[in-house]
Amino acid sequence: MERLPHDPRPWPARRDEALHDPVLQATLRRVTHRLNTARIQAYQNYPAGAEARERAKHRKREAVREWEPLLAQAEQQITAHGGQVFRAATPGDVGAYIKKVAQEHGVQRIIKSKSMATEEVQLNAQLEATGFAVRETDLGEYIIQLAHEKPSHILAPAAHKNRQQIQALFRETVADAHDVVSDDIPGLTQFARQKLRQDFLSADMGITGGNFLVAETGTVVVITNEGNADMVTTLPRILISLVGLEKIVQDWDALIDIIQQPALSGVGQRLSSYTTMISGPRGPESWEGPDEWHVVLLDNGRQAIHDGPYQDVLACIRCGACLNVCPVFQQVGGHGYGSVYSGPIGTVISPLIGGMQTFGELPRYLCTVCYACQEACPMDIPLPEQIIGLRSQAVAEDREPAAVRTQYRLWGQAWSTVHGYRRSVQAARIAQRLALRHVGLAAGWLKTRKMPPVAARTFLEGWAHEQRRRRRA
Amino acid sequence: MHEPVDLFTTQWRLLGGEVVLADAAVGWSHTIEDVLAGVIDPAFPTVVGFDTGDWPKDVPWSALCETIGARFYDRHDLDVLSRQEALQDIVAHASVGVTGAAWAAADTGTVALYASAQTSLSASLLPPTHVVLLPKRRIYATLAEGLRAVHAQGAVPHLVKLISGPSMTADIEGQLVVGVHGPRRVVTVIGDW
Ligand code: SF4
Repeated sequence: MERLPHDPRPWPARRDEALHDPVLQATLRRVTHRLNTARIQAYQNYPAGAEARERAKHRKREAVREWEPLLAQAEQQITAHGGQVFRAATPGDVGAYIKKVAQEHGVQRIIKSKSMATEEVQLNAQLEATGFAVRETDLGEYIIQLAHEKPSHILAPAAHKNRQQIQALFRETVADAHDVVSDDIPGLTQFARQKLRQDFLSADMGITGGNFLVAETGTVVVITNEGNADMVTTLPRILISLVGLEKIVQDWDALIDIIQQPALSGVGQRLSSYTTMISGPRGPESWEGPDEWHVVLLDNGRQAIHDGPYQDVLACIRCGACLNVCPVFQQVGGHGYGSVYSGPIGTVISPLIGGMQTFGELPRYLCTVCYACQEACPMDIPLPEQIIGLRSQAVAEDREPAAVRTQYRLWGQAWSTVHGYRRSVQAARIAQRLALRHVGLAAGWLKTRKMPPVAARTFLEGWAHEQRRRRRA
Repeated sequence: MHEPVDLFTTQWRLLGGEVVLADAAVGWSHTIEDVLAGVIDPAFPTVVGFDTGDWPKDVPWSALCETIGARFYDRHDLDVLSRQEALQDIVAHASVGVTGAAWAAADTGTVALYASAQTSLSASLLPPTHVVLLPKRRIYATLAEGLRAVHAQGAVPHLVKLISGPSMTADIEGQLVVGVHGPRRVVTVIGDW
């Protein structure tokens, strides 16, 4: 089984599909703009949040650096509270373990709250292949599960669909969906609420991800806005939490500093609507919570990242801020990346988890090195530098065709001198006049881009002309 | 400098929650009756409530609910049923769930609930309206203070839930909709009992 699922279509195909999808374009623009503005305002109006971020970022880096003793401590705490811990090296290990637990307990119906780790290991496909019914309960995830698609944004998985498409989807795929008479958004949401209610109440097993794992107390923290993780943790008798190794934080104080950051950076709220903290299964005296709780700690390449030059990326809290500011993401959306992890963070971790062979094209082509992500990231992860590092590696490992390389080399040489650059402007002017749009590098480039006309006289040329005129005068 | 109560009220409302400031002179029962009458759905005339020991004393819950045409279930009424029956048959069909709160935080507009023998988190989750009875003294100025209190007691409760406003989603076209899985309305009644 592959380390990380990928879309087998080549990048140009994914790119062009995204650029020619007007619904995607409109929704992406709206969603990213709204989230960006909200993030900036949230920190501005809340200095305590900005101060906590400074502390959180240092402590998170430290926790990642020394994670082995912390993971051992978390494991010991969870076990002491009656939970069970399993370390999964691969996606297959996760699937096998959860299937075993489900079979032992005669589980039939499984409900899930949103978790990128479960997308990474393709948990639904693994469980469904064995005959378990799995239901995604986050509204966006529910929609893409019905459509058999992958998330297009780590926070808003169905950001690429509009209300009419969702109405049509419900009608086609959900029983009794004739009552979905209108395409208004509250109505669609209510319909999903009713349908998912039945799933919540009849499920035997719940699966969550985890935003943080506190070593000191063995607590898994799950953050949502919809309240579905609360249902998942409160109602079914068996609970599984799939948590990446990098979710570890040292202690309760470290949690206090970091707990607001995903909401502040992700959606511009001081805290998400629901934060659930699980530290053990239900005791005999308690009414709610699971009878059994299993924490699955996911490696899947994380230890290797930890031991290599990109360790800092493990401090990521998956807030999505870097996606929202990225000019490439704003154009092509999550599906353009062909990985469940998209945007700048996906450009770094997809090749690190899934291999350069498959995901080398992400650092190579899907970054303009504008540094917007670096500025937005609450954990100050040096994403652009990491992308450049991976880009060099990709280029060194996997060569472009000779003709393309020669063109880039000549271009690089030409622009390395002032005269070369000026001559290229003159050449472009001539090429433009001759309508030479379809040769060499320009051919692919201009398929989905507009080439701005080269000025009849550039600023520099005008300036030089003006200088000469003054000297003469 | 804001009083925690004022700041909590501002933040909770900002998130889409409602606040009722109860006045001892009016009587807690009166205020609670008013609040319940305003949120009860006649099609589902059931109220479930779990007293953590910090509710105002001497509120005649059953009688009070009767006057607004609803039936009241507390922990003891539900204990005679299996957990599954209680959840599916009663709590899932109630239109109002009433709980207390372990504490609240003003700067984030957050209410904290712990699962225990006395409290049921389901009352805060399944019904379309959640009413929180919050004594003034339980409101901290900041979330950080509240969270420190969770740990200060020694062991962390096995299930802690922080609620900051109603359940919401922006998953369709980025438009905010309240009440997707959890309650649509969250009403906090604050008083000095
Ligand atoms: S890399 Fe930074 S900005 Fe991007 S999701 Fe992770 S924490 Fe957020």
